[in-house]
Amino acid sequence: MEQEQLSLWLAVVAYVLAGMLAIFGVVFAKKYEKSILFFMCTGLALHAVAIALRWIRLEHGPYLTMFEILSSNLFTLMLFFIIFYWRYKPVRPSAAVVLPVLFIMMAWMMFVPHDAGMIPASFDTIWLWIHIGFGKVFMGAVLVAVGMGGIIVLRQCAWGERKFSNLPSNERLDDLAFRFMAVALIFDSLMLIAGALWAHDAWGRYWGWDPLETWAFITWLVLVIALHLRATVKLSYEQGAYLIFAVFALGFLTFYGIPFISDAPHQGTFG
Amino acid sequence: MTASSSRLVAYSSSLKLTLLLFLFLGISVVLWHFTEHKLKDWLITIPLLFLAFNLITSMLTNKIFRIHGWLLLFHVGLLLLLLLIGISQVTKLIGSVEVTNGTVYDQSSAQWQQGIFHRNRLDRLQFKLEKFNINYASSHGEVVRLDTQAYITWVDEEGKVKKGVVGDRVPLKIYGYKLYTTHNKGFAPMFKWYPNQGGAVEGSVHLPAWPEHELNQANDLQIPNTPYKLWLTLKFFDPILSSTGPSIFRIPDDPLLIVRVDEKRYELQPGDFIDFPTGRLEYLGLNTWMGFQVFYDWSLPWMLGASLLALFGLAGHFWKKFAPTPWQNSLEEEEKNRWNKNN
Ligand code: HEM
Repeated sequence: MEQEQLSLWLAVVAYVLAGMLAIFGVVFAKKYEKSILFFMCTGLALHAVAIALRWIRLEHGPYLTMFEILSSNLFTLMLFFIIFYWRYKPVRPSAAVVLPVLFIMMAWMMFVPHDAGMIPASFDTIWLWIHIGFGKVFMGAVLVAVGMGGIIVLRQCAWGERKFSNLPSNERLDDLAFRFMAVALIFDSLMLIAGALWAHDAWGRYWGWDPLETWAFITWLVLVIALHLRATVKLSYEQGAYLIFAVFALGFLTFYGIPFISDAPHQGTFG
Repeated sequence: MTASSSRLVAYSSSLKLTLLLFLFLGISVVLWHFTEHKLKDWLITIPLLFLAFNLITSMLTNKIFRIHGWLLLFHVGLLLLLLLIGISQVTKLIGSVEVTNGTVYDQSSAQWQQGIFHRNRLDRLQFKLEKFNINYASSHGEVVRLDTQAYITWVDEEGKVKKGVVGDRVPLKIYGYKLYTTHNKGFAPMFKWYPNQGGAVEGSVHLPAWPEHELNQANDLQIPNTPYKLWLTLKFFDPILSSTGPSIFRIPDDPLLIVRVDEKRYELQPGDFIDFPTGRLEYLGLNTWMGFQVFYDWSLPWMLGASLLALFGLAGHFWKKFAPTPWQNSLEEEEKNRWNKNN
């Protein structure tokens, strides 16, 4: 238990260090890229240890309580971002936008109760992994797009324009961002399909418009609207960026907010 | 085509209309939650119908669908999905049935909603709920429901008698219907009515679902073919579920059944009876009941197929759209443009 808490805290410290370096790097026009990558990877490794220790202690994966959901999502979002950071060198400064977004999740994670939960019978299925897995890829892809969008928006002011001047043009950032949004749509759709199959399996209905399903659908719809708008109306890059933020905010609230205000991951689970 | 009809086609296939309809759908879905009106499903059906119409006219007239096969495949998949949702609405059945422990399913206890083209065969179902278990555990002082097993004997479509266990994620399948166990269950006082003339009949009263309606364990009993109506309630002090350890749903050790007939009040133990001018009502004892959810929808595997087809098309579309303009190309193009401008 103590080791678990310790490695989680150290992981958060490493993530925060990576985030601070990313911000300093932009503000002071310095290249800390290797150190940022190092701290992100160290954080990820420590985080993996914390998750594994808890998994062994409680004998179930991190998907029951709010704390576990936040922790495992933070882990996968970090993992996606590290892969992106490693592969897409020209847009690495987007870490200065993405990591602070993840700080919100970290703070939230540290403040919710860390107690163990109970596994409902409907969780004993492969659909759990498929459904959650697709959801994580979806959020990871949108997060990367948020990074691009953040730079586009910051560039609207002279300071941002100067600080991000050596990055690719807004046109190319927008293009890259919407590629990730396309990936997000595919995985969001897969998540909804897998969720419906699971719900059918567990409760004898595939879609019941419970609060979580409703918000998941609205997130999907806003993502579709964003892609349709971009394909049919000439959006400005800034407008495109705000649409990305809207999808991320909705996805974020659906994943973490709705289970928080309604009493269970899905209403049909307990009773 | 006349000018006005071609304008109509242009409007109905317009992509701006699609965006409006998406917005309409989103608002409808939110509004759906705030109304209890019996026609509320139309809130979702109407925008979907408009979207389908918009999509069909667009597919027939917009050239982009002839150029981009993958995009066409994607939208065809979507159209199929919309069509199947429509078919599903008119052919499906969703219902619930309560079965007393140890007795056979009785259609008169079933409630359902069915599409206008559903061929109802609920009267053919024959099954008996032999017994059931629902396990509970405690977590931070709260009781959490775990797994459920219902032991069933049923007659399949060929008339063969079968036995099995159903429960969480394993429904009982008969005549295309799927019967899922639910968290709905409760207590059921059993009675036997001996009329002065004719044979005796047995029956039970299902008290409201437990533990949700723990504080309201009361119901009425109308004795068949008589004017006698009883009000009854169950009292017990035995905690059934434990907030500190594992427990199961069971009959309480010392239940007291209180019955009111007009102004008279009775406290009954198993074997007690109440005499009426035309017969005698015996209280046999306390039993339990379980609620099943009944579901029929043949379109489901097809919907899955249509959505996967759509996704396949979408993935193909994006693959094709993004592959020819890799990162590097646009870089070079930009360089070229800059060079052209400067010269
Ligand atoms: C009902 C759900 C719908 C979804 C999920 C959906 C989704 C999409 C997506 C993801 C794209 C690709 C955008 C891109 O290449 O970036 C697209 C393009 C397109 N959609 Fe839809 N669509 C839907 C309905 C419709 C409807 C009702 C119409 C009828 C007008 C329509 C017409 C089009 C057209 C014409 C394009 C190509 C736009 C272009 O590239 O210029 N879609 N749609």
